[in-house]
Amino acid sequence: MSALFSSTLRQALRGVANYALGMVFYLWLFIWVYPSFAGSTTLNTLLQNLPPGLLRVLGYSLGGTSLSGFLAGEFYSLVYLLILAIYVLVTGTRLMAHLVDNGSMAYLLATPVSRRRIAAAQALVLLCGVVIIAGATTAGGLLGAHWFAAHEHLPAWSFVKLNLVGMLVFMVVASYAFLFSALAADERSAMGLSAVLTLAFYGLHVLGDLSTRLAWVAHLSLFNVFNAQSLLAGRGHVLVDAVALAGAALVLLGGAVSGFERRQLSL
Amino acid sequence: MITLRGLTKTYPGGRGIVDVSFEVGRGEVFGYLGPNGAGKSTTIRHLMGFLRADSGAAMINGLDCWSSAPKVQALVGYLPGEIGFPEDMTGAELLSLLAGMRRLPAGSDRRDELCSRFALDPRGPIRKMSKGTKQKVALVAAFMHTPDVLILDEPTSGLDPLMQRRFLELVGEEKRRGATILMSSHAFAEVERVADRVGMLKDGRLVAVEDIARLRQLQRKVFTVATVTEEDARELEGAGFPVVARREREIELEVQGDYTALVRALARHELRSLDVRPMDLEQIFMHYYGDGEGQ
Repeated sequence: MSALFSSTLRQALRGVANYALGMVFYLWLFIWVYPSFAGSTTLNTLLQNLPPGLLRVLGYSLGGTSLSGFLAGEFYSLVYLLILAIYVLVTGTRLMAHLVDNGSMAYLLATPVSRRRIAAAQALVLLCGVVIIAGATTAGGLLGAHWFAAHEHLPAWSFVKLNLVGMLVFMVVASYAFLFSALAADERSAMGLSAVLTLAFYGLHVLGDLSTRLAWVAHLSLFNVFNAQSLLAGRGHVLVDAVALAGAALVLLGGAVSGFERRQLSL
Repeated sequence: MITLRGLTKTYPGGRGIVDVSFEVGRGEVFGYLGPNGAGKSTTIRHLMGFLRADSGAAMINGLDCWSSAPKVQALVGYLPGEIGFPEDMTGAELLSLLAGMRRLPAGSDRRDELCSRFALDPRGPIRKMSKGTKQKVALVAAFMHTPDVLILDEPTSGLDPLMQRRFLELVGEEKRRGATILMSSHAFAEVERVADRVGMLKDGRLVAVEDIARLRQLQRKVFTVATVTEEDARELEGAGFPVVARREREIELEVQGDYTALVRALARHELRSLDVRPMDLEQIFMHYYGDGEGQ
């Protein structure tokens, strides 16, 4: 397993580094433009005239006047979700379904390493990528705030907690993507199922924010746990959420591994 | 060493294999023949533990190939029929990965020896390799850990004639070493040089299993005799040997064992030329099993 893990990780690292660099680049860009954005009276007047529901979707309930609120609204509500979602969906599908589809899984299965260990090694590579990207984002955000917006206050501990919850949310996304990847009939349906489920979660999240009458549907969404506004404001039950998310990820990965163990493979 | 007992698997489309049973003894080479789609790869997938049988069992060294797959795979070298490789690796990286997963000592001499035997430079990226080169990487992966059992699915496809010969030499060496070998093919000629026995699969059923030695005993020789006159040819036609073909002053006779009688018959005539060739083993095999219904 260690040979497979280190080989797959080595191959995956280049991609992971690209995602992490892209993420930090975007984050720095947002931090860098913030001062000019905060100084724009036109924009603030415009924001005050928008309906509150729309502002919530855009992530402005904290007010657009702090760096935290700006990052929560502009970065963590879309760009962050998008980059991590693309990473876990693409990589999750590649690590299992792609190998089964193109037949190269046969070479791995022909070794004395059990299916359980092969699947576990691949899952671990996927999760390592999430940790690396989330870690780089956390460090990049703290450094970027220090370098590009030194006079702005970014609550460091809350920022770390925000990124911790973000990482765990995407470990769950990675886990169901991996589950589909390990069990779906082919690569395309694995990717399709993961993408549809992720979009559904995002859609429910947006819908719940849009109208107070539909607020309840947001509770059906995984992304409901990841409320950047309140996490940065230091609210929310981070520990409870973290344990629940880690548990969900473990259950999904366990299902993926044991399902793959029993699966019939026409390799 | 390899045992299939009533192995049955039906795919949703209705194809599959039905009640396939045979054994391959230790140190034996078994040629597994059949047209494309007959079920050869399906059988092999059971031996590799990729598929679970609907009924019956596939066993290697007494271990069930599905439930004890990792233990079985420690004994087996496998050459897949469809060459799907991880594209973003070099051949050398793949071989190192597989060696690592088999816990072979790093940089084994056997791997280098196999590479030079097949004139393979594995350092290039796999996605840029030709089909034949990929096949060589697959061959090295299957043989590099000197396994007790070799399962080779269409091993010579993609190899040029020289490499095919080197491959058959390698199989011969492995056999002398005591390895048990099952190799599938759609062509009889590919396996007849190295196989001890052949099995024929048709539409998912094993229709024949035969010793190559016995087929060789049955193997007749075909003499092509060209006579000076048409009358000589006509007389030879009535000399008591089965006639394969007759063209004006040329006649093909099938002879098994009774060469003296042939020489006596020929001595009575004046000949322009005399040629001899063995009958194809495949012809004998197919002759015995007709349309594959068995005897």
